[in-house]
Formats: sequence, structure tokens, C-alpha cells
Amino acid sequence: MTPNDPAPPQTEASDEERALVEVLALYLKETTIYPDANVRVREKLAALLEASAQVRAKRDRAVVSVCSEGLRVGDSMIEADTPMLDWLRERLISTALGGMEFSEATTSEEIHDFAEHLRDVYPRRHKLTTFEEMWPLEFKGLTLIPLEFGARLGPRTEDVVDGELIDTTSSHDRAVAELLESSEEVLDQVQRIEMRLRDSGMQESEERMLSLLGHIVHALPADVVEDASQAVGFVEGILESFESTMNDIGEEVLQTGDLRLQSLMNQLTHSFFGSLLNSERGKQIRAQEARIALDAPDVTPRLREEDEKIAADLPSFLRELDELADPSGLALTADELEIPAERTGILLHQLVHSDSESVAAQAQARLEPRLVHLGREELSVLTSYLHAYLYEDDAPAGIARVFDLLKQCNRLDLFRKTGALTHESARFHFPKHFRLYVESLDPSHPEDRKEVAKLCAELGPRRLHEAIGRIKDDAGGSLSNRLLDRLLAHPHKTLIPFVQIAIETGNPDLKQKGIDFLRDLKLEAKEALPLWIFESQSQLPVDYLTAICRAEIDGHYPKELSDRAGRMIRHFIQTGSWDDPEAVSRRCYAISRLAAFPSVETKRFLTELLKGKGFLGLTKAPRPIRQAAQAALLAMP
Amino acid sequence: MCFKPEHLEDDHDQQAEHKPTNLLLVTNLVDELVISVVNSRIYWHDHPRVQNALQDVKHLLDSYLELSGEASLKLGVVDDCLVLEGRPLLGATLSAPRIIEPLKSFGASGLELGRNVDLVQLRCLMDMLVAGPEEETDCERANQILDQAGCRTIRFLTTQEDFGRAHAARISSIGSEIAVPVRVYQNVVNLLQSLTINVCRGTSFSMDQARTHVSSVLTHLEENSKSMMNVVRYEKYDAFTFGHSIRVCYLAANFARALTTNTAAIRRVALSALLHDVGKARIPFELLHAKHRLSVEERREMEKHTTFGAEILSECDDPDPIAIAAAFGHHKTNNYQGYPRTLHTNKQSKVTKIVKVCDVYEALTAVRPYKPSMEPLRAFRIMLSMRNHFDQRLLRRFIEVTGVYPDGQYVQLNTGELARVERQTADLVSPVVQVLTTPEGDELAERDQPIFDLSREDDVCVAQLIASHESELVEA
Repeated sequence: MTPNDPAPPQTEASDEERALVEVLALYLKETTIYPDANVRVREKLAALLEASAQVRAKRDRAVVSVCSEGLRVGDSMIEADTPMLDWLRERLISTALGGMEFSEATTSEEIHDFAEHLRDVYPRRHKLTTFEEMWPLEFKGLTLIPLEFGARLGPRTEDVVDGELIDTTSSHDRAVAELLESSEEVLDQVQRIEMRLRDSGMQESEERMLSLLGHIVHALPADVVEDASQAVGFVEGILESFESTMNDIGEEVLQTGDLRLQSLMNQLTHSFFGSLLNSERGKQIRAQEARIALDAPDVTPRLREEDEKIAADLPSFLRELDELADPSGLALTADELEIPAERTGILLHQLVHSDSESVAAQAQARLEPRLVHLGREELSVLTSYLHAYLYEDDAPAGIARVFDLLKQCNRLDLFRKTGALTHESARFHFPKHFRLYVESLDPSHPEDRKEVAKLCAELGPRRLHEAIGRIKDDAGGSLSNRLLDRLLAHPHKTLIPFVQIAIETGNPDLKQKGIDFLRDLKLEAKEALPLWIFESQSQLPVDYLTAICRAEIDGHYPKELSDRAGRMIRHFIQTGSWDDPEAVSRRCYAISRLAAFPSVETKRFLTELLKGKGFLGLTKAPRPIRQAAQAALLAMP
Repeated sequence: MCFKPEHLEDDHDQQAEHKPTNLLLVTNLVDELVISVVNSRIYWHDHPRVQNALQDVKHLLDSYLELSGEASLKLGVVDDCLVLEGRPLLGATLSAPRIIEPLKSFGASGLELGRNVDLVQLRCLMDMLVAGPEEETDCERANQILDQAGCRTIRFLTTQEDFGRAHAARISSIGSEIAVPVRVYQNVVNLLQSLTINVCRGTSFSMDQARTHVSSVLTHLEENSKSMMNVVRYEKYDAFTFGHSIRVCYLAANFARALTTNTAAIRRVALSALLHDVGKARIPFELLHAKHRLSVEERREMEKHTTFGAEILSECDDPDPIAIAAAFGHHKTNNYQGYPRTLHTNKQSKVTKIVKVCDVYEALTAVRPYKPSMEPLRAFRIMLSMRNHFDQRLLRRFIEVTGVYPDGQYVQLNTGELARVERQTADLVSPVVQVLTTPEGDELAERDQPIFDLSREDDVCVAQLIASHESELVEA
């Protein structure tokens, strides 16, 4: 099955045409990594508009489409011979896009919307089946072309690119139509449909029947047409769908005449093949096609078709040889026997793709020491894997081993050092990359600590709070100590949601870091006073601390929390020895702060202190305590 | 070809009509015996792979006996060479050290397979060849064992039968020029067979052993490249594709010598080339030797040999990254297409590129069951048309080094003489040749065989390349 084939006569692509395809691929790829405002995205967008204008200036139309070997601009073939072009082709085919036409009216906003929708629809490509479902958008200046099989670029013949009209009465099509007519099942189905149409008020005619079959034949995929016997089965399937749809849509539509009927048939055929395209079988076929296309020029003992035409012609050989670059001076040097990048690439491939755990483990063991000092080329190889891990939805499952490797070697920083992960992409892909980005930072480095705070400030506390569930899910249900450690390294209010999580982990270290974090924030709320009054973390209950965090996130302290803080302070004053001057001093401070919690209980508490009564059978309160109580009572409203 | 060497018109002329068929049958039979021996070391007796190979042996034997009208097939062993009807079988010899060695260890001068041999008897023979002789088991005793096992029509030929002496003079004509490279070749085949057995059994193999053999290949290549290349180019079917690996090894070593004088570097290139297809040891035998066009699924399975190869070589004690890279990347094109599909793109090492060029050239010019040999000129043109596959400078240099008329090949000159290519010159189509016959086809005595540098001759040039043929090659 080959998309949008058979190909029109091909010409060699000009530099402008190739540039258009490349910059389109580059732009779309950049949008999956960087936000729209990023200079890289903006530059590529401008370049894309410029490239489309240049192509239009030369050939009136700038139509990019996919074909079996790669991509086309008009009738010029461009092999998908780079990963970027391959990526673009795959994106388009996976989203049922046969291509697009850039016109003079195409605006940057339209391209932006297109890219945004592509990003949105690509992950859902397995759920959506047809072009119509995937691309409900309409643009004024940008024309999207549905993916079809068998040389059709649009449901209407006038959509065919470069005036390449389909000959619906080709001898082959006729032969297939004749075969279909020879099938009793197909004829029965057609007759039933004819009956329905007649009952609906449309006139029955032989022409109608031929037109139905003709339509279907016209839209059949090329390889189905090649195998006429297979075509019967396909057509039966389509007619069955058609009959069932007729039942659903009612008589009114059926009476609307040829055009609507044609449109309905097209729609059905498209959805039929659309679902086929996205079915498991369809994927297999496409995978096979991709592989066959890929392997076609590959070296096999059998000759390629074009090789059969190559003869042992000496003059031609000498001429062709002369076209190659001069090899004089070519040598095999000792340096060329050192292949760190190639070796790293193979090891990463083994790590990601091997079905054998032992091979993957061995590759990991060999990669570990290499991660200490990576050369420029090695970094570039690694970047491909990190990109795949971060941005490719259909990356192999083993790609997670790369992350595990970096984590195990404490080299998550490579995500940032290779440029695979940036501040902007972490923000743009929030919350997906947030955790990894933070973990890739070095908490001992002041700049990195600031970076966390900066990112979180940009995201805002509410967004962070809302995303915590997903961040936790992505992390397997709980956030790692490593992540929390990094998040809590630089106090900033926006990080309070993570403080709450750190405290809730039950890990004493993290709890202490959470308390320190809250103290460092110098929260002004009176409800936070126990943070400074209680020295030991055991005196600060988890639920109190999390309530503080929640209140900070909500921007509102409930009365219950205020009451609780008051109770905690009063309890602090009541407990412990009166003999220790240091303890007395701390209590005086606590008493002085009680004025912020005016209530009957507080007043009674302070009054009793003032009267010099001891608590819980303890001795009478010292003078400083009583004086502090008096001052607090006076300060109370 | 208008020239017919005189020696083909001697006392064997009467047999000439059906001899190629017989030779082919026997060579294939030996190949199947080798397959049986190797597979018997990997699998149980009743494994289909062993059974199928034995079935093929029986079928080929029956065909041979019917065609030749002989009562039995007598395969002799003389000087590590398999001999049939007094003629050495060079092609079969190259791949058969695992048959020759046990026969020698039994003190046998050959093997006789008669009519009505059945699978049980053949299996019994396999057991003996695989196990080798027990203490004090000579040829007579081995035949008794065969008799006791009911193998009435299989027997080891005893030295008393004088099979070898009768043809000693003829065999000795092979001379050291061919015999030495044959032995080197046999050793490398043996190494690759052992390696395959190890891989199938899941045990690692010694890279040192491979290095040693590669050293001997290079030594002989250095000493007499012409005869080595003669053996290498020997056109025969290759049951385990070992021949392909060895030929790629020779080609790569020869090419590397033109790129560097660093012996260690050349050795590593040769080793990489020799082991580039080692991953095929993990590919199902049936798939590896499929005679049909592979389906997509089968191709996908076959393509795994690149990643398997890298894995196998990685598991060695002392892996060579260059060899791993060549095994992994020799089907990747210069523009990152091909297989295995990787997430990364990086420039391939020069060694991988060298192996890739040699691999394709060998695949095109080799004989396969389904295709004849292709002459180098056409192979080069096809390679030149594969623009994105190769490093262009490297390809050009390879063509220059290998030549349109490669060293050791026979050519007919425009003046009618038969000549052998001695070495290349700066002019791709005008090598230095040694003239072997007169224009009328009369063979020249060795001392009278002149050497011409065709690049300096105005009127003499190569008219056509002559495909080497077993009998021609050996007797030449």
C-alpha cells in the first residue's frame, strides 16, 4: 500500500523545494520541544513562510505531500533520507495527512495552529481513524490534503495536485470493475442499495450501479487494485458499511442527489480505509511498506530491478567513476581506529533495543564509565536517545533504560548539558518534563538552585499544585527524595506544594527540610508562629505543617488553623521546666505572640499566668513569665 | 570463450560432458556432509536440521551414482585435499576440514559411500566423524564398527587400497602455490565453524584464536597475494556463508594494505571483515539457506544478524570495538538508511565503510545457488549507482585497488592469448599480466610465459575476463 501513488512524473527537487520540506520538518519538530515564543520556533516559522514563497515564485504552487519513497514538493521527489524528513513523513502519515499546500494567504497563525493541532492529534492517532476526525480545522490559506492510497490527494478530483487527473476509466480500473460485477455478493449488495435509493425517490439506473462501483474502484488502494481477487472482499466490506450508514442517515439525505451520494461514498471509502490504515493490520502493512522501501536499495544477493539494466559497459563505468571525488591521499590512520561515538551509539542501541536482559545489562555496564567524559560526537549520539525519551511518543519501551542509566550514574545533568532538556522545554512540556528537569539540576550549585525557583515562579503555585498528582503518577506514585531534595534547596513560595509532599513522606530528613524551608520563607501569618517557637520537629505535627502549606497555596488561613496555632503555643508555654532561663526566655517570647490569638481561652490562660499560678502541679511561674503575660493581655484587643 | 586449455582435452575428455554435473553433485554432497557434522555437534540426532542435511546427502549420493553409473562414490583424502576420480576437489576441500580431519585421524585415505545408503547408516557415519577415533581405533576397526552397526555400504578407505598413491603425481601438481592457501583457508573455515557451534551452544569464543588465524591469512596474503586471491575467488557454493566472510576478509585486508602500512591496523580490518556476519550464527539455519525470496518477516529476522553480531562480539573476553562496529553497521548506508534502524545517527568508522564496500562487492561477484558470478565491471557499476550507500572516495579507491580485472583472474587478450592478471597499474583497465598460452591456445612452458604491463602496450589490451572454473583453476 503506497500513499498517494502512483507518482506523477518525477523531477529532481530544486534547492528551494528541498529547503521547504526541511524547514517544515524542522519547524514542526521544534514546536514539539520549544514553546511558540522561543526564538528557534519563531525563526523556523519565518523561514517556512519564506521557503514556501520561494517555491511559489518558481512553480506557482507550494504543495508538500508524502509518497512511498519520501516526500514531494509538487512533482519533485525528495527522499526521506535524513531522520528529520523521515520523522516528518511519519508524522504526516500517522495523522492521515497526505500533505498540505501553502498559498499566498497562508499566515503564521495558521501554521502555528496547524502545528499545535498536529502535536495534539498525534498522540491520539490510535483512537482517531479518519482524516475528518483528525483534522476538523479549516484554514483560509493553508490547505490540508487527506492521505489517500492510490494516487488521490483529495476526495474531489479537482484537489489533485498539479492538475494530475485520475483516469477513472483506465483499463485496469475497468477490469477491476468488471470483476466486481462478476461477484454475486457484490451485485446483491449493489442491488439492495439501488432498491433503497429507488424507495427513497431516486431513480434506479444501470449508470447508478456503475457509478457506485466506479467510485469504489477509484478509491481502492493501489495494492488492492493490483490483486483483483482481494478487491472483491474489500468492496464487499465497503458496501456493507454503506448499507449500514444508509440505515443510519435516513431517507432525506438519500434523496439529495448525486453529489451528496458521491460525497457519502467518498466519506465511507475514506473512513473504511482510514480505519484499515490505523488497524493493527494496517500498521503491519505500513511497517512492511516502510521496511520494503527502506530495504529496496539495500544490498541483497538478488539484484534490484534497476540493477538488471546496468551492463558491464566500460566507457560508462569510466565516466561514472570519474564523477566520484578524487581518493588520492585517502588513508587509514590510527585515529580512525578510535571510534568512541560509534561505540557509544551501538551500546545505547543495545541498551534500548535488546530483548536480552543480559545484553542490555552488559551494554549498561560498558556505558557507565563512558558517561564520565563524553566527547562532542558522543554527546550528539546520546542526545538522539534523550530526545527520543523525552519527545517521541512511539519510542521503544527500552528507552527508559537510558534514563535509568543516567540516574544510576548520577548523570541526569546530561539531559540539560546535551540541550535535550531546557528551561523552556520543561516549562512548555509541564508537567511531563518537570520532574526530570529538576532532577537534572545540581542542588549544590547556587545557579541551579535558583533555576528551580525561577521555573516554579514562572509556573505559579496553583499550576504546580494542580499538576502534583500527575507528577506523582509519572514518578510511580511518589516523588523521589532526590527530587524533593532539589526542590527544597531554594526556598520559594511556589514550591510549597512540594514541601507539603516532603513533609507527608514521613522521612525525618525531608520533614526537617520542609520545616526549614517554611522558616526560611519567613511566613508572616500568625498561624505559622509555632514554626519558630518549637525547635524540635517532633513538636510540629505533620497535619499542622501540611495545613500551613495548604493555607499558603490557597492564600487563606482558616480559623481552625489559627485556633490550633494558639493551642499549640499555649501548650508549649505550659509544658517544660520553669528553671531553665533559656526555656523561660522562649516562653516569654511565645507569650508575647499569644496576643495575636485573641480568644476567651487565651485571655483566661494569660490571666492565670499573670496570677502566678503554676500549671499541672508545677511551681509558680517566674516573674518574667508573668510580666510577659501582662504585656500580652494589654496587647490583646 | 574460444580458448580451451589443452589439459581439458586429455584422457578425461570422454568424461567432460557430464563431469561438471558430477562435480557439482559431489561438492554439494560434501557441503551437506559438513552441515551434518556441524549440526550434529549442535543438535540431537533426530533434530530436523541434522535429518534434513542427511536426507540431502542421500539424495545427492543417489543422483551422483545414477548419473555416473558408478557402484559407489569414493572420496579420497590426499594432502588435506578431497579427491574424486583422481582430481582434487578444491571447492569441497575448502569447506571440509571437519570431514578431512576425522578421516585422517582414523588413518583412512578416504570414504566410500555405496548404493542403498540409508539415513540410519549415515547417522552412524556422522557419529563416528563427530566423535573421532577412540584409542587404538584404526581404519580397519572403524570399518568393523560400521559393519556392526549395519553400515554395509559405507566404509573408510584404507591406505592399503592405495587410493592416494595412484594419483600422487597428479595431486602433487597442485603444488604449494595452491596447497598453502587452501590450508590457511581451511583453518579459517574451521575457526568459523567452531565459532558458529559455540554461538549456537551459547558459549563465547576466543577472539585470540580469530586473531591468530587472521594473522596467518595476512602473512600468506603478504607472501603470495596472487595465489591467495585465487583461492578466495574460488567459485563454489557455500553452505554456511563462511566463504563469503573469508572472501570479504581477504578483500578488506587487501584494500586496507593500500590504505595503510600499519600491520596492526590491517589485522584489525581483516578481523572485522572476517567476523562481520558472525551474527548469522544466531539466524535459523532454514532462513539462512532459504532458496526462496524472503518474506518481509523473514527478512526482518535475517536483518537481526547485524545486532546479533555486535552482541556476540561484545560478549568476547577481549572485544574489538572496530569489529563490533563493522558487524553492527555493515548494512547501514552512508545516509543512515538501511538496518539496523537506530535512534542515533553518527558517522561510520572507516573500517565499517571498508567492510561494507567489500561485503557488497563480494555479494555481487560471488556465486550463489540462485545466481551466477557477476563480473567486477558490472558489480562496480551497480555499486556506483548506489550513491548513498558508500563513502564515494573510499569506493573509488576500492575500485582502483581491486581493479576491473582483479589479481589472479584469467583474461583473454585482444591478441588471442590467455593471460593471468598479476597486479594492477594506474590504468584501471590495463593490468600487468602473465601470458599463459599462444594466440592459438597452446600452453606455454612456465619459463616462456612473458609478463606484460598492458598500460605500456599500445596495441595489446584485455578483450574479456574469463570466469574461473574449478578444473581450469586447479590444473592451471
